[in-house]
Amino acid sequence: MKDSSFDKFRKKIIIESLIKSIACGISISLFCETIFIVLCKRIPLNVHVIIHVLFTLIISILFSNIFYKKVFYVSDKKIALRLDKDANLNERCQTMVEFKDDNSLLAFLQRKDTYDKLEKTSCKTLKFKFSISTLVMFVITMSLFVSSLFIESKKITPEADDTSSEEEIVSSEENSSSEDFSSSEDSSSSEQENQESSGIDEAFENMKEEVDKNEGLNDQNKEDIKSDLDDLKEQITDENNENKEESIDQSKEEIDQKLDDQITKDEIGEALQNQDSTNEVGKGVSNGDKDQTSSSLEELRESLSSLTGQELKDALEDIASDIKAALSQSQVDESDELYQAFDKFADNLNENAQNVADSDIQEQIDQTFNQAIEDISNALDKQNAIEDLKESLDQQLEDLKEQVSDNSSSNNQNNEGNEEGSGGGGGNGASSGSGDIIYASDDLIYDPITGQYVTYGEVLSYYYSLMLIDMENGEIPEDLQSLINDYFSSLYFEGEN
Amino acid sequence: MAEEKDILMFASTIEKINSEIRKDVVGEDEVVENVLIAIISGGNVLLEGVPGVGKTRLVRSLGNALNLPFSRIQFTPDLMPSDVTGTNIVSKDENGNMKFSFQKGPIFSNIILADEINRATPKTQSAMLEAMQEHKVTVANTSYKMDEPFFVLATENPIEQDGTYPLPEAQMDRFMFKLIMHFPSVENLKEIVKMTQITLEENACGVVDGNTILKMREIAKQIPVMDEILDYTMNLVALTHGELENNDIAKKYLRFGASPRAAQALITGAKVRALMHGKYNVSYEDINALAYPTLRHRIKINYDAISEHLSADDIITLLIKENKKKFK
Repeated sequence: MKDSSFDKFRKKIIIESLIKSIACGISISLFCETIFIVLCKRIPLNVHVIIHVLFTLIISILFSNIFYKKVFYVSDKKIALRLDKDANLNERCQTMVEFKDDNSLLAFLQRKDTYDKLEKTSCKTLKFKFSISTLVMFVITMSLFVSSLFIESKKITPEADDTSSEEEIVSSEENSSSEDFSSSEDSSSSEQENQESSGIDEAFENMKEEVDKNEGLNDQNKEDIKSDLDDLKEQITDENNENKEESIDQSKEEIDQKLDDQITKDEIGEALQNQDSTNEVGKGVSNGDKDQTSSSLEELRESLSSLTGQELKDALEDIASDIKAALSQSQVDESDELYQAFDKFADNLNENAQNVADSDIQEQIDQTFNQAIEDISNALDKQNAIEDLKESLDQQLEDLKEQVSDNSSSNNQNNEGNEEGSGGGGGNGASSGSGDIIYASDDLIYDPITGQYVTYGEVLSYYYSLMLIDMENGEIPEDLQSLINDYFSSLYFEGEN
Repeated sequence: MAEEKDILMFASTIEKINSEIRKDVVGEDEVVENVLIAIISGGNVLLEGVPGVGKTRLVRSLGNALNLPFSRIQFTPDLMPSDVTGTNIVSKDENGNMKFSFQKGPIFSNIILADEINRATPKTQSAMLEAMQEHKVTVANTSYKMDEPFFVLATENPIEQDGTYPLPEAQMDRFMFKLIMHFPSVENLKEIVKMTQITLEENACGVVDGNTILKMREIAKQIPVMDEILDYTMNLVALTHGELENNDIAKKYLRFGASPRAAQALITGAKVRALMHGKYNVSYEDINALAYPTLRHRIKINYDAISEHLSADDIITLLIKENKKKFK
């Protein structure tokens, strides 16, 4: 006996259970997906559509499975119950299922009777049942899911942070927060600063390397100059230093002075030119032209070659005394190499004068001149090298000054919004200089010393008066006075513009 | 062992018996059906009805249809137990010697009509009830077994209660069913009159015999009953007891509930009923249908029910409704 008549109903009920399970599974997955979408939009989190689809699919399959196995699973007994109710079979199917393993005659007849009745029963008798609650749940979750698609994503709005921190400028605590804002917001300017500092480092390294390689300076001089360069570098890289350009100028002067101290050819050459016998030599020395100096010394030697005896002696002594007099007149330090070269030359000439009677006096004189030419040429080379170094360092420091000046102006543009100060920009009057924040004279500035707010005009007037006093007392170098005057003038009048 | 042809012929056999009885009894389909259920189940029936509704005719016709001897015992207050069961009498044997021989009483038949059993004394009632229960009679220390099938249909006159000895509840419990024969309808009455004008004799002919009834009894015992129906039945019987939890109806309307015999009677009768209706399994419908004849004499309504004009059948209807809710 086949139970195909029961199977057709079983299939129908199983399909019904599967549909219910899938509907519930989809409802749950839509609900979970709705929560997922809302979270992604609120965090915000950028998740690919495929991930959403996979998530929904997995949850749907999982819960459909759970619902089918735990809730809507239909055993033969449940199917029989459903059949007996819907087809009015008077518990035939249920009895048949319960006694399916009973091999008695009556159990057999009962099964047969049931199958006969089932065969006469149409499948349509079994109506599809779908609970209202499942339908309602599905509709609600679908609605929630569709609604979630229209939720706007949360956007990151730095303007909100900017305005909140821009308001906190006046107090010290507020300044720190604005600094925080500046430090956080000026990430691009800090990168620029990093680039600038690396450029500055490189420039100083180049200059120091040049100083090291210079043959004209002794080690002590080199160390001094390099120390000056290091000090200058510190001053330039100091963020609190608002006079970086002046620092560069000052350092440049000091370095130039130190280098000039090592260049004595002008003094010696000028002094030699004042002497009759060494006039031409002096010209060559003043020009720093060792060839000219050598040829002048050769001519001097030629002039001595025709002399003998007392004349030669007198000539030698005259040249020696002229050199000595020139050296004395030059006021150059005796440790100077050029000085020593000429001094030695003069001594050798005096010695030659004492040995005039010698037979090889000409040879001695030649030797003296040759030695002198060599020593003086070497000394001149060194001094020329120092001169070249000076020019190079001057140029590099000028370039550095320009670079610092450019950086300062760009930073001031970046910080302008943060440093406006309370009171706004009303009124005529002062500014803080090109590239800096423009204050009006009525703008209030916080004085951390007194803890009071003072107008910018008062502060400027105070410092201007101090400047005038220093100027009158001669405490400001003359070559800087015009610069300082111009500076204060610009503070007063730039605001009007 | 029951044979398949006997099983398959069960419903038709019943139909044959029914149709024979219909020759003599008009209407009362439910009573006839339940009487047949009872006789096949091996139970006894308490029949309540006013005089002249056909109680005796039903039993006679049943006896004719089943080819079984029938006897009628009219219970009166002076009826003695020995009048029912029989007694030893002195008689002569073939040699002329005196001896005691047992003279069987009217109870020694297959189908007994115990008319107005409530008129007899409790002693006589007990003699009858003992035979009903044990299917044997003991007289002078000698037991005499009844022939099977043995079926007693006892009657009670609901009108004449003076001078009667109502059966105690414990004795009532031994009746499988209590059936009520109502006054026939006008149409049925007309038909009765027409029928009896021709002849008062029963016209039913024998279509089966006692052995067939016994076979049918054996077949019915094998009918499968699923667990849910058993639970349904047991719960229905339990609902008649107000002392149990959540039995608000019984608590309100019943003095006491049905005994376990009610559950046995329900299941046994339901099996027969299923077969009679061409089914091979018991259904809820069978239980619900047999709940009334099975329970109405086994439960006792209280004054609350009487004051609300609720009969035992009304209470049973409420109980069935309550039981259906639980097993929905």
